[in-house]
Amino acid sequence: MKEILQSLIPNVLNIKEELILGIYQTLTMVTVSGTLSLVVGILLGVVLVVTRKNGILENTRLYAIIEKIINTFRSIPFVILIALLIPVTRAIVGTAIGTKGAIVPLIFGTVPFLSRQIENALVEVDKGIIEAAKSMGSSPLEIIFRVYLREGLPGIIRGITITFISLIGLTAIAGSVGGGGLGDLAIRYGYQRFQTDVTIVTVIILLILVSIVQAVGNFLIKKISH
Amino acid sequence: MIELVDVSKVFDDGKNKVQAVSKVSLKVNKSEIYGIIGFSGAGKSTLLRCINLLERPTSGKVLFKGEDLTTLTEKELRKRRKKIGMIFQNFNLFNSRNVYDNIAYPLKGAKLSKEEEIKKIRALLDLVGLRDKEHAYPSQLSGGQKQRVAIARALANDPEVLLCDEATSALDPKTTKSILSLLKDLREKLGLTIILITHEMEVIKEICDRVAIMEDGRIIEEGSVIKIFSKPEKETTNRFIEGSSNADKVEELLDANNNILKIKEGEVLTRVHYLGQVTREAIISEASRKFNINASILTGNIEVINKTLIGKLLVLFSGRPENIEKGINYFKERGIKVEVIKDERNFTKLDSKCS
Repeated sequence: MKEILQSLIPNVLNIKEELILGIYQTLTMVTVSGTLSLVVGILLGVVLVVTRKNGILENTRLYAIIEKIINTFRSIPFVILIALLIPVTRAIVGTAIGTKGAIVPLIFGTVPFLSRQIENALVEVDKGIIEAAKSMGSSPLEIIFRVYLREGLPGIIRGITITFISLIGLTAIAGSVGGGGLGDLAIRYGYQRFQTDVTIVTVIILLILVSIVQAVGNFLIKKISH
Repeated sequence: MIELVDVSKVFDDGKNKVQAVSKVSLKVNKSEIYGIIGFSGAGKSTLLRCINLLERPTSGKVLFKGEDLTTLTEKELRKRRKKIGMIFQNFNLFNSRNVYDNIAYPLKGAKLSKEEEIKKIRALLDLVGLRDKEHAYPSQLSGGQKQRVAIARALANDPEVLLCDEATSALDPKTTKSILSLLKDLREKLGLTIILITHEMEVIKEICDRVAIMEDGRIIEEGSVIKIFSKPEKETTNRFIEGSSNADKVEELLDANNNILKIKEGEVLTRVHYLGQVTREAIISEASRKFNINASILTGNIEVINKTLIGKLLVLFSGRPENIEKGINYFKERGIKVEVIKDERNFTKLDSKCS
């Protein structure tokens, strides 16, 4: 067994510890920035839905402002966003390098995408159902928590799944510019030293991660849909 | 119970102004079933939403038990809404909740204990006849069953008024009948006041006490259903009534000079209207014997509304011209309206024969 591996992926075996660290760093970036993005993204998504035209707390000015900010961040390529955010990152986490330094730009890169996903999921909730809730005397807050977030849950989970998958992609980019993780390994060994086996192994690991996220998402959607 | 005073609603998106409802006033008494009928775009849906302020009127007052809802704060308004139930054409159930949880939704804040809540919801399910569907999800129910769940949910907070927004329009005729009889039942059992909007005269005929006909945001005619059916005043009203019977289709045949309705010389085609009590007498055969004329009923439509008969017959008379005249007068004396549509009698010709 060992011999087979030795002949197939010799370079990977030489950096075993680094590889494990890389996986750990990637997972850290995904979970930490993912969780924080979820909080902010869902909040913004809800605000977008309720303040949009004919929303339950219509405020077209606030909607326009949030929309402008989201569109701005979404149109900046992620690599440039990392550089652009260096002062902000330093101010928040004290450093702009390493896994810790990658988390801030990752959040800025993920939140706009996620809030749009959440907004789309909630807009899909039938207007008639919202009207019915209003007719039963529900307050806007009740409608958000008991109707929007519940009726829109399958769509929300779908949006979160897509967001996490794209977040895994972003961590690879963040890694390549000093964030560590699997992306960093692929660049340093696979790209710069032509150790193709390292590249292939990192790709396989990322593929597995993406598949797990997709499977969990599908499972949850199936479980809550009636 | 509910009174609207000069209610108007203008939709203004900055560019276009649309007057959906203009100066509508109406009064609905306790335990009454009040229907609002109109073609689509007449403003009936907006008017209904003005009652529980889902649409805030641009001007006018909305009185619920004497209190003007338009002056209340949002919080007070939400409290009143719990006493005004509403059901919809598309049922609008929560798809993520089962039947029990759908009905439990509006009970949050009612401060019921778990046992009281279960008892209440089971009683509501019994009321609408869906006791065995407690754990089903909306996607597993038929349209009629969904509407029954919606009714149970709307009744959860013991409302005094139920607003029905085209509640049967998405249902087949048989299910429509069963939902309408359920609504009738609820009025009997709970003393519920029901306001419904529809575009189907059948619905009005089936359960309403009074009806308003709406056109271009206005109520153009209003009154008891019997009055509206027997003596409609406006063209639109007529169209709704005609749509629900076939007595008037004959006119289309007449206009086309159809062979079935070729009227021969000496015959008179009339439309006979009658109402209620007089229909027990055999007036047509009596007139036929008495004046030696033939009366054949070509087509007819008899409606039963609130236990009153409203008949509309197309009758072709033949016989001696003066006898036909006598016959028609005999009808009129008995309070039956006779309208001559086509008169092919020729008095002069017959007169010359006589002399």
